[in-house]
Formats: sequence, structure tokens, C-alpha cells
Amino acid sequence: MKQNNCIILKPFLFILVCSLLAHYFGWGVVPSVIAAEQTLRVSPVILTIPLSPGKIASQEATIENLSTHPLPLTASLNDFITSGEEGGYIFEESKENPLLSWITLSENNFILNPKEKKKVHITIKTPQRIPVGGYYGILFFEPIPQHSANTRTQINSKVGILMLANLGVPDPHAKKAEILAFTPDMFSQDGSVPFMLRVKNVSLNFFTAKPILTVSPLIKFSHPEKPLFLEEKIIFPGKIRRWTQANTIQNLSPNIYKAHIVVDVGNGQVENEDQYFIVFPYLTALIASFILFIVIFVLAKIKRLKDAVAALFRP
Amino acid sequence: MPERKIFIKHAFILSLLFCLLNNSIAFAAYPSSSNYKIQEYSFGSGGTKNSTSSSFGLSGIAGEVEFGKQVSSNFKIGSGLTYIMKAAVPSAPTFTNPSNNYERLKFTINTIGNASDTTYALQISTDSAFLSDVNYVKSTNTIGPTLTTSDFQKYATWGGASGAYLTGLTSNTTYYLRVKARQGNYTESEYGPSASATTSVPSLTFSVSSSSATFNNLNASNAYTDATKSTILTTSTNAYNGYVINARSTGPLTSPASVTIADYTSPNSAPTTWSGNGFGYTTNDSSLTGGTADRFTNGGPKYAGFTTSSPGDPVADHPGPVISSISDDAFTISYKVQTSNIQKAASYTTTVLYIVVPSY
Repeated sequence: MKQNNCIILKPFLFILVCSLLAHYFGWGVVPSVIAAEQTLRVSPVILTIPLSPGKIASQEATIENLSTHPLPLTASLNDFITSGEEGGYIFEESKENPLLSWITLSENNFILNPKEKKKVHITIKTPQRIPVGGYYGILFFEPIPQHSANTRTQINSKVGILMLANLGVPDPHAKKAEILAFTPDMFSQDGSVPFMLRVKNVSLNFFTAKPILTVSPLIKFSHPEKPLFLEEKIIFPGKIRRWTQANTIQNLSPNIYKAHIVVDVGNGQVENEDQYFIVFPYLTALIASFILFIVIFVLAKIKRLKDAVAALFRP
Repeated sequence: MPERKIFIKHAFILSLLFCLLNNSIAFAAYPSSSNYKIQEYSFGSGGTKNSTSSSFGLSGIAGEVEFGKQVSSNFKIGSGLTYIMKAAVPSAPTFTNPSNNYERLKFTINTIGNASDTTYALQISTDSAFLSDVNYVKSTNTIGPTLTTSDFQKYATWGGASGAYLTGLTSNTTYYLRVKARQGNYTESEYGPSASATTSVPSLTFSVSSSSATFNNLNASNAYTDATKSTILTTSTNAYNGYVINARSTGPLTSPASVTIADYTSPNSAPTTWSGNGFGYTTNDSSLTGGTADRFTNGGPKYAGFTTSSPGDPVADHPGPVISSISDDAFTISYKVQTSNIQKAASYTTTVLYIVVPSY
């Protein structure tokens, strides 16, 4: 009986010692996924906040933990500024932002159990005397990193909600936008016409710009194309947005066309502009003309050519 | 003199009889000619568009459809009192939220037999009785407070049978939509019955597959290299403009003694095939914002080093417009670390942060 115990225990001890040594010296491959995932859901994605001087506005954001374990979370407010014409962000964590200084969150740090959701109340106390216009910020929810062995690189996530506030009611008759450029290619060889559109916000408030392009043939061989609804984009005051990538009018037959762009900037206001372009297979036409010219030349000079060929082969 | 009185008396009686007879004929007989005879007519509500049989057709005299002269190969109603007929009142439009959108709803007009040159205007409200918060659908498929002539559009321009999306709506709100029609001046119908649809709540779900990564022990047997670790980023959203995920680190891989493994030198805007030492990453997003779209995937995995500055560099995105919701959009971020054989032995760590924000 005693001997049997030794037979059983020895391999067990051997494996145990080996495992401890492997762990100590870092031998072997450690699985890449060793911690549970983080899954967060926020709602809404963009908070639009109407503000009035001296008034208190209230909004709420919902955060939900869809992970299978509790997550300690922190909510933080950041400034952000837009960059470029393609919708880039720069988060300015240290910059003074009036909107952020007016905001109080109901909770900044909390723990969400698995599948639990929480509404975070956002109270915005607007001062009495402030300039009208747009004020912006971003609300982040971020799991608080848990302490773990110092051999691991921490992976953390952060989910942001845009907060876009407009203070005051903009003049409905004031010009809100300006089309800086609407430039379809003047000539098209194959019936596809790339174009670029740039729109500037000349108002004090942000708005969503919705461009609609209509292409009509000037010579009525064909019907007007169906309106092309381009992507709607938010434009911040003083900023420019650009529509260019993948914006191509396709499959146009040869004709002269009028391209009519309408940019709806909300509340029934529109800006529009017309441009003209030609669809004509000019390369094909050039080659065809050249071949035709050669044929006519040969036909016109055939007698002289025959004489020349005959003279060439004359002994 | 008596004869004269008798004559007048008889003439009066005859005239009276004639008038009575004439009136009775007028009341009893229907219009007729040598070619036709109307058997019966009456004045009704005028709601019938037309009556037809195999041998004749007769338009209704009031209410509905066309106006102008009625002609065929056999007859023509000439000028006279011209009836202007109202367009048929459109039935409730088809109004839905098929893609779970939060700022747009889809509508399709029901023409109920109106002619193809009929134009339609749409009224929208959050009040089912249309007593408050009443707006109109503008020709740009947005809503505005006024209805203008250009906002009357033909069925085809409103999207025809495919319908169109009405945009610029408020999330989590029920809207009511109704339609009226007209076909020329003075033919505008009343608004028809309304249909309702509700915008969704916008949301963004973001998942990272792991909250840490442990690299292999770097030694001669693996050429001091580990490229086996990765993180899967999964996103679902109905945000119209999509989303972008930026990544940054808090610093290079650092040991407790503050010795570092430098970040790979190539930037996110111009990643390169791995060469030399450092800590870097690659993404399988082949249409990435911030430079050439397939810069990480074209020609094999290309690597870049993490930036430490906010908001980080784009590592995955889904540009707009998002008409149907994005569901479980997954991208893999793979890491690579390589050192020289004289790198000091220690545990090196950092924190990598993935920040997801909606695009605008």
C-alpha cells in the first residue's frame, strides 16, 4: 500500500515542480486572452443640448455593462476640437471648456454588475451672460484598470458620447452655410464624373448639412438622373466639411449636363449651386477621326499611291 | 265681343294645357338625340370617378381626377362649364423604421390611382391630431416649418415605390405623417389619414476581447520576437456617420527599473513591413481613415508604433453613411515586439487604450 502511494505521488510531484519552475522562469507560451472581455454600450451616441442663458438643462446618458463580470467605471468630461475637413477629432484634455465647467454628472465613479445599466444624469447650469453659439464636449466612460501581475500589458477601452450644445435660437433668415467649392470634372471620357463639394458653416451654431445632387442633360436625349443623396455631416461653426471620396456620378451617356447641388442646412434652409460638364468619349472620337482621316487620305490619293508602290517594285 | 272673350278664354286654356304638357314632358323626358338617349340621371354626391361599359364611358361631373374637355373617337364634350376636379385624397403613407435608425424614417406615398402628374405634399407632427409641433417635409427630405410650392413633388420624386428617407428627426420619438395631393391649380385635396413610426434610441456597443496581453518570454529560441498576441475590437451601432476607434499607449514598454523597449518607429500614417526592434501593432482594417485606406494590409501586415498623444491614431473605423445598423463589426489589432539579444531581462509593460467615438 505504501509503495502504491509513492507510485501515484511521484508523477504528481514531478508535474507540480515542473509547473512551478515553468511559471517562475516564464517558460512556455502564455495564452493571449487571459482576462475576460470588456463590453460597454452607451446611449445616445450624440447628445444634442439646447441651452438658454440662466437656465438649467438636463440630459441623461445610459451606460450598460454587457460583460460577464462587474466593471468599475469612471465617467469623465473632455473638450474636443475638430480637425481637418474629414471629421477628425483632437481631444483637448487640459483646455478650458465653458460647457464642461457648466456640467455636473450625477455619478463619476460606479460599478456596473454584469448586464446592468445605469442612467447618468447630466445637469447643465448655463450662466446668465454668455455669448450665443455652439459649445461642445465629449463624455467618456472608461473601465478602471484592475491591478494585475506586472508581466501583463493592460488593454483598456474608452467609449465617448458627443455633447453638442447650441445656445440661443439662430435667426431663421440668417445665412448659415456657404458652398466654397462644387467642382465636377469638366470633361468625362467614360461617363463617370468625380466631383468635390466643400461647405463652410458661417453661422454661430452647428448644423447637419445634407447635400443632394441632381444631374440633368441639357440636350434632352435622356431623363434627369435620380437625385443623389450624399452623406449628411455635422459642420461646426467656422469649419469646413468636404465630400469627395467615392462621390462619382456614374453611367452618364454622352451629353452636356447640368449638375445642381442643393445643401439643406436644416429648418428648410438650403444653399445651391449649378455647374456644367460634358460627357463625351473624346479619346475614342479622336482615334476614330484619325482612322477616318487615313481612309479618306488613302481614297483621295489612291492613284498616286498605286504609282508610288509600282515605282517601288519596278526593276 | 263675346266671341273675342271666348277666344281669349280658349287660348288661355290651351296655353295652360300646353305649358302643363310641355312641363310634364320636360320633367319626364331625358336628353336624347337621334344617336343617343340618356336613360336616367340624377344629382348625387359626385363621388364617382366615371361609369363605363363596353360601349360608353362617362366621367363623373364633380369630384375626382381630370379636368378639361372629355373626348374620344366617337364623341366630344365641347366648351361650356368646365369642371375642375380635385385629386383623390391619398390614403395613409407607408411609414416605417426598417433599419432601426434614430434620426430618419422611411416613407412611401400611396397614390390610390391619382394620375402620374399629381404632386404630393407631406405634413409631419409628433402630435397624432396634428394640433401642435406641425412641420412639413421639404423637397430635400428634411422637415421645415413652412410648405412651399417646391415641396409639392411627384410620386417618383418622393422615391416612388421604393420610398425615401425623411431625415433630421429626433431620436426615440413617434412621428405622424400624412399626405395631400393636387393636380394643377384649385385641385388640392385634404390631408389623408396619417401613419406613424418611431425613431430608435441611438447606441454604440464596444467590446475589447481582452483586458490584458502577456507576451512570450523573449529569448534566443524565438529570435527575441513575439507576434502572436492580438486584441479583437468589436463594435455595433446605428450611428449614421459610423465610428472610429483610436489607439494610444501610455508610453513604451517599460520595466520596473524604467528600462524601455522603444515603440516601433513607423507612424500610423505610413506603416512599414516589420524591420528592426520595437513594439508595434498592425490592423486588419483595409479601409482605414487617416491616410491610404489599405496602408496596413496592402503587401502583408505593415506595422506602426503606438502614439502616446491624445486622441491616438485610427486603428479601425466604419465610415458613414450607415443606413442599416452596424452589427458586430470586428477588427483585429495584432501586436509585435522584438528586441536585441542585449535587451535587459525584465518584465516590460504598458497600457494600450482603445477609444471609440462616433463620427460626425
